[in-house]
Amino acid sequence: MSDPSILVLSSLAGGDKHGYAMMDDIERFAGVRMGPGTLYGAITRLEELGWIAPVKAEDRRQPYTITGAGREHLREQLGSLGRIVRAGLRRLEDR
Amino acid sequence: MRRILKWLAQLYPAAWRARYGAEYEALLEEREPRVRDVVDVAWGAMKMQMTAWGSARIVLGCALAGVAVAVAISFVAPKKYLSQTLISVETPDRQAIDKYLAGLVKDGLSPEFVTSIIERENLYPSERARMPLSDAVDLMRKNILIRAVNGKQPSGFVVEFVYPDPRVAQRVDKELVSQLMALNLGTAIANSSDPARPRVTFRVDHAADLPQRPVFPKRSLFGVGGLFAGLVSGLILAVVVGTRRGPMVAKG
Repeated sequence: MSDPSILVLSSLAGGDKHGYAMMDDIERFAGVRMGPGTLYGAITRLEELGWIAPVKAEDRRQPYTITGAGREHLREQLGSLGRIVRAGLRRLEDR
Repeated sequence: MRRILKWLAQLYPAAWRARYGAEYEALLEEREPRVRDVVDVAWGAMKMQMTAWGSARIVLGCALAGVAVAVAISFVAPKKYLSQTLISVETPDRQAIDKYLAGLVKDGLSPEFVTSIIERENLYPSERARMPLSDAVDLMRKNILIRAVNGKQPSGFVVEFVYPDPRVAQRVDKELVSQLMALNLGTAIANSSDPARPRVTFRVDHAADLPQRPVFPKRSLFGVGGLFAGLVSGLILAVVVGTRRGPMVAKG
């Protein structure tokens, strides 16, 4: 599971973060070292979709927060993934 | 490395840089740069440019890039030259000439004869280094073209040979013509006492010339091909980008 949008939303679900903190967090919980271009491609798209929003910045580093619509989308996506994961694991165990 | 990344960040669209430029630069300064980040940032800039461009500009850009790449390839592609000889045919039995010519070509351009030319002229050295001689013979036969002129009832035929070296193309074409002339003469002598087989006379109307311009690559054809490939790629890219496009957000 390495869709940058889902990784960014999952990271922000745990609290507001700026770019560097998101990369660090994603590497820790997903084992994915996201490049700056990939991260900001996802941030741009998610902000356009209204799933994340910038919050007040204290310096040049811009923190973001997940919106209600973003949470709803993430919940749907992770729910689908969860069903796939459970079905896959069940079938592996059945054999 | 960091300076390269910052320079690459300038390749993002101006509207995007106005919105995200400062925080993006802060991220590049804070993070320890890796080699793969160069590719990541360059790729990100390209994708963002594509997103910012309209479909028409994407298609136009790809079409121009296609033409540029194709023309560049045409400059480095190995050249091929064509030498040709025009031979007129005189015979009372014009109906049988097609069959007669086909037989003559089959006998005249036997594998043994073609092999002897390849070895004598040292043709296709790089190809022969990686393929058996029989394949080189097939390759050479593909580069020989003998075609009738003036439609179905030929008053003559053309012997053509294509090769990367114009002088070799001319020399080999002359050898091919000599072989066909000699074979025709031999057939005429053998049939001289048989009235049922009328004499066929070949006359060289235009001897093998030294080709001045290559027949391959044709830059104009490459350009048209590149334009077509670029247009198709641009249309596909515009559709892909269009499905991912949203408005460029403004801060606030």
